[in-house]
Amino acid sequence: MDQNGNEKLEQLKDQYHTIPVPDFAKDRIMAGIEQGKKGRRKRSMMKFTKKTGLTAAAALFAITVMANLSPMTAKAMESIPVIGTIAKVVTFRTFEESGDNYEAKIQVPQVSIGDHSDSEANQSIADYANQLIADYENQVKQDLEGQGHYSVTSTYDVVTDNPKYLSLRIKTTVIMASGSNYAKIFTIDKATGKVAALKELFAGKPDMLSAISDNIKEQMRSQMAADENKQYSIDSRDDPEDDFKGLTGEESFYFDKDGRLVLSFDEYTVAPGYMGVVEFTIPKSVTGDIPFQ
Amino acid sequence: MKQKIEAEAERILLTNYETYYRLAFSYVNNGQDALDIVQESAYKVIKDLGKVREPDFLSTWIYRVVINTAVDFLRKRGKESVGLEGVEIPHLDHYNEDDPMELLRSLDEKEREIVILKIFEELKLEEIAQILELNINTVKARLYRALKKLRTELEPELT
Repeated sequence: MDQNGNEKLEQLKDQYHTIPVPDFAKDRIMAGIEQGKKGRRKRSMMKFTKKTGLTAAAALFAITVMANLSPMTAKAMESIPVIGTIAKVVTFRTFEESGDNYEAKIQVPQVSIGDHSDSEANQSIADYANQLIADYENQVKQDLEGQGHYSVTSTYDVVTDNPKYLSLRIKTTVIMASGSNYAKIFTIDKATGKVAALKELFAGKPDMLSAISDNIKEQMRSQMAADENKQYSIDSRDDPEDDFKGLTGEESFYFDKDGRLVLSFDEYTVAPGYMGVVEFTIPKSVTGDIPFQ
Repeated sequence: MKQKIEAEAERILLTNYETYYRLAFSYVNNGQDALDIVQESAYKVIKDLGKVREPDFLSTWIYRVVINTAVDFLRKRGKESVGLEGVEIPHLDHYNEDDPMELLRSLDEKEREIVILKIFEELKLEEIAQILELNINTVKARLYRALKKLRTELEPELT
């Protein structure tokens, strides 16, 4: 192209560059960037899911190793030559994420018995934690406008550590509009590494579950009689269908330091919400001595 | 490393948004759509940063995203209404001095892209080849053809 043509082309170029760009353009690009960041987090979440088989977020996760070895168990171990398995509980990972209206901190414990950390129990625990995380993510996904508020905190503690069983209590608090508390207890048979279900404990005694249920009902009644502020879902006139009927055998339980069975019920399951998570200790007169060896 | 790429992508987007807007505009010829394309492109860029291996490639890739988004936009819209975008406007005897886009309309989409990237944005042929995912010779050929057409427009008295 000759001189004249080139000039005109230059002109054209200048004119192109003076095409007006509306003010909103910058805002729009910033909005796109923000949306992209949200999308990216979700994508990393999904990748992590595939890689580890666990649902998690791209957010920071801290791995703290916490060996829990109760001195009682160690002592018991010394005097019982046969069982030498020592169970350790480690915080496998902590799922943590916080945003403007959302926050999650979920500690996921992992149990290692002897040298094995690959137990079925850990899978159950992981499944449970995943469910918490999935619920959380679901909330976040459904509410991209950022209007909602959802926070979940989950910690665990060891509530039983005797020669036969290790019980982990995972306490979760979910705050949406109001708060909800859940306590899920995994009682692990150290010999097998499996989560022991309540009904398995009493496999040879089919009437035990109803005996314990009756005992719980007795406790409920006497507590209500002694304290008018206490309420349980029993003997209701209005909603008898929602009353506590009996145990299913899947309830959360653990053993206290005296070896007594303790049952744990989430909010709303056997009592009105304000009662919170309720526990009942079952006397040995009902259960007998629960075998430890 | 990932954060660095994200920060760099953000920086490029915010510095050059006018360029992307004009580029988008050249496809859709109206402001609203151009804004939509710009936003959509920024979203895609940030969301898909995992695809980018080298930060040096970022700028090229971003151009590509903008162009692809604009083209997709047109394709979708083309299904709904009969627009002038796909149709070649018959050559005018002389172009409207106030509207540079009008002259560009006389080129087909592929030629126009190249003119904008090479003449207006002054990118290297190699980079343009990468952006458009074309062989560099194809780029040259199209550019040549486009300039020839423009020449006809710019210098009507000579034809």
